[in-house]
Amino acid sequence: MRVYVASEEHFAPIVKGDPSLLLYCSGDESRTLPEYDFDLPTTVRTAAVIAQSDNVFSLEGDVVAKNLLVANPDAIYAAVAGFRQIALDITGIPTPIWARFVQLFRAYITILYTAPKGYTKSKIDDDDFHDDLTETVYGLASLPGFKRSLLLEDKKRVLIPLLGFEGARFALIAKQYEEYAEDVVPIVGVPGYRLHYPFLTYLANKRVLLSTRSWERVKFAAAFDPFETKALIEKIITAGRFESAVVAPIGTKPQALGAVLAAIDQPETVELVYDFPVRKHGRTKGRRMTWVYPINSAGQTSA
Amino acid sequence: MTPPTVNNRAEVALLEAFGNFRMEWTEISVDKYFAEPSYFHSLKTTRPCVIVGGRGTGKTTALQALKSRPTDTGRGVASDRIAVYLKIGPHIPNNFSGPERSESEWAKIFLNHIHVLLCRLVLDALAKQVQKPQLASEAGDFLLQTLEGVRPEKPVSSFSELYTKIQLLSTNIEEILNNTNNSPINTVDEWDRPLKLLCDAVIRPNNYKGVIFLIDEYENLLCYQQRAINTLIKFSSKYITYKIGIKELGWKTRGTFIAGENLRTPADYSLINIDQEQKADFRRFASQVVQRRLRLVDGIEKRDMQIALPGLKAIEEAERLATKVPSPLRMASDELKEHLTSPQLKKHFTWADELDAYVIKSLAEARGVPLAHLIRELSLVAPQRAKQRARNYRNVGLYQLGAKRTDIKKYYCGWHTLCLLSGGNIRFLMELTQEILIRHLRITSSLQEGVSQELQTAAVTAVAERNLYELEGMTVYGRRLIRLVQALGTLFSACARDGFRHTPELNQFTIKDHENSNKDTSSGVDELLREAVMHLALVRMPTTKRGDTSQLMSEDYALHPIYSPFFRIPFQRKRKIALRGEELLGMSKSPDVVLREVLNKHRLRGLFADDESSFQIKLDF
Repeated sequence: MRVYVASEEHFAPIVKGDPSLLLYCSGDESRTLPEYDFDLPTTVRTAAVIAQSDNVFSLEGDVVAKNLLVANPDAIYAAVAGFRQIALDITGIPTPIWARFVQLFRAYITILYTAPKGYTKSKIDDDDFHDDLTETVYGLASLPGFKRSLLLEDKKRVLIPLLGFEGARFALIAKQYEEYAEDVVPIVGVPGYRLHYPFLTYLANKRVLLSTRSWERVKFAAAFDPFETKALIEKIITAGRFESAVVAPIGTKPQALGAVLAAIDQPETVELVYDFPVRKHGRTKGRRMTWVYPINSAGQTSA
Repeated sequence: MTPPTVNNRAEVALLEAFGNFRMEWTEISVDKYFAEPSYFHSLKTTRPCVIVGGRGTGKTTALQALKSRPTDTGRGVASDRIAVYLKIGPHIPNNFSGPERSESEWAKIFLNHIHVLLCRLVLDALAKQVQKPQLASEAGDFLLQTLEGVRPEKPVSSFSELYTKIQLLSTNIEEILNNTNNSPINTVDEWDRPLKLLCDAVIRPNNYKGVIFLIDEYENLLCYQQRAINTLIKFSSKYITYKIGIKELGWKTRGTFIAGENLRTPADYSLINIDQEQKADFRRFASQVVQRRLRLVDGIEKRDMQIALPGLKAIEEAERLATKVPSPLRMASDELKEHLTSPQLKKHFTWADELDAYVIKSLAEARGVPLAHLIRELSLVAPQRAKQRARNYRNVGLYQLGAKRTDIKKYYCGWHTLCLLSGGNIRFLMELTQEILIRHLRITSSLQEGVSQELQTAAVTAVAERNLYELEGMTVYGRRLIRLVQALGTLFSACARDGFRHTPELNQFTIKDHENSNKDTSSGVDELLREAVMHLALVRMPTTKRGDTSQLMSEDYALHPIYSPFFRIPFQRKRKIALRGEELLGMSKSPDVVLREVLNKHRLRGLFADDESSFQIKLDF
């Protein structure tokens, strides 16, 4: 599957006149607003996702639904019933919520994501962006909808962290899983959103890359390409003959999408682990292009 | 810091012998490396036990040693009981929580999950231990019915069939976790009925009397989850035993699901506190562990660790640090002798060596009084008392001698010192020993010679730094703990260097005015202290009865001694400074700002030179 730069054609209805639904979540970052370089067709209805937490959200706009639980698929299905095409702009939506949507509506959903122009960094002598990007993390758990009850110790397991600019998050995951995973194989976004971003990723994560010696095993997938990331995760598992993979989507959202798709396709093998960060206000600046990821089963590019 | 790369066969052997100082990394190691700690006999009884200790104190090793193995060496509790080990993983407890269900609903799901999990572990273990494991079919049916809530469609006829069906139950639980619409949650009327049925179905038919559940990292469980397993422990039959491994302050509750019924010791369980058990015995135990490993490297049966890792007496250290010409020690000694003008005075100061002379002279300078004045003051008390007063500042003298050096500013060496730096933690001790010996091998290629004090100091400093940054991954508070340790280390380091001007060897703190703090500050400090102690950033010296965690803020604390070489501070418990709760919290969030305020505050007592460059705050977190 391919990655596209979003345009009006991606919103053309597959069946003429059929309404489609665009869901988005606007926050303090300007890129979270559904303000694209093109006009949305009149058949597109929109609704804002109001995230009360990582587990509870409401919809407001052309679709209204209150207090939807991520753990309750029936209620989510009911809320968006009547739409055969859904576009989900994940830019501002918390990962636990959009991941669940992807899991439930894989067959007829298209994903959009807008990258920022830049990230806030206030400390010049600290390579880790963690203090600028995240208030705190709640702790480790599976993503809702992807919960597992067991972590069987006798499986040959690999830990695959998708690295971002926050070494502290990698440190927590690497430490907590060091005795469960035979190997750590990080994925760095190359190319990144900007030319120098991969270097920032290495710098931010250098302490843990060194202490785990995983710098020797780093693999690369484009920071904005979930399909390449998914394929790479599958390749790491197969090439290493691992029976199981713990994937930590702590890097870019497109790469996280790749991890989610891998977990949906191989639920017995791929386990998603997340640290549920509380994002800091003003963590990013501006907006770059909007990408479209046609993840629906037919690979159709229209929302 | 990068772990050392391997250069030769001796290093490979050393890394293999010591590299597995984390027992979790290899199960085979238990038979090869295990040395029984002093409390092990208490753990081997059939009573429920809770073993409390920090990471690296040997809890997991001790529990793993009890586990049943196909090649059982009979070390376990009793060969008529099957022992299975369960570690509470990092994210699984949180998977059993969320707003979609009430806590009581989650408790039912979790209890069901625990029953299924424990059954699976036993079946796994039996399949490995017994060639053709037997099944009492009727009991097996009842077991499945109890776990599933419905009678099986057809009776289960074999052990492997039961095993498959129980595996499927885990999948069912995952369906429930991911979907609130699922069928009602199964509940059991008796808490441990599934486990009793397990005994009837597979344990007794295979000639075992009972089962022991070894549950490690209990602190990872949420509060209600601990309550669930506490209930199982409280009401377990005599054929089912639990051995729990938990970090200090990891108990969230001793309550159960029966109102008014809590877990109590010794009525319901024996408590083993590793710190207390091993306090007197740690050096012997550590020597045993290290020698066992070294034997695998070079075959030497017994070695004297004090010769292998020699230390320095204070006067020897002073001579190494005072390399300026003329020696400040010699100058101070000569000056002291000049003032001992009468035979009585000379006799009064016979105890004073060159370091004592240096200390007395420095004390006089710090107070701004002539040396003769201080000598006269000391001569007015008994010689033993004078000696004690001067020797209170002996280490301060060492810190001052080393302060302006560019290489080693303070020595940390000797087997006795390593044991103290490790704080009774066998993992730290092993890590220190490994680092020292690897570096030694690179210079000498032989473990027969004693290791130089300089090399020991460099090695333990590297280990201290490594462990400091490892805190980041220990807990979601990791970065805050690092900042706190760095801030306190810097504070105590400044105190150590300028100890002549105030109370010597300040290396502990207490929280003052905590009863007047607001609720947010109190709970913030409480949480920070709990995490810091649990993950060995701090050690506590309780002034209240241990286990009473409601009084955390009224206790005394110090940095874990493992960090002492990195900050060049004393590692033995000395004297304390009072900090406010807000200051402690501030150190964990904005250490550079808060630390400067704290340092300035104590400057009022003439603590520091006016020139701020005399101390540098280097906080890279």
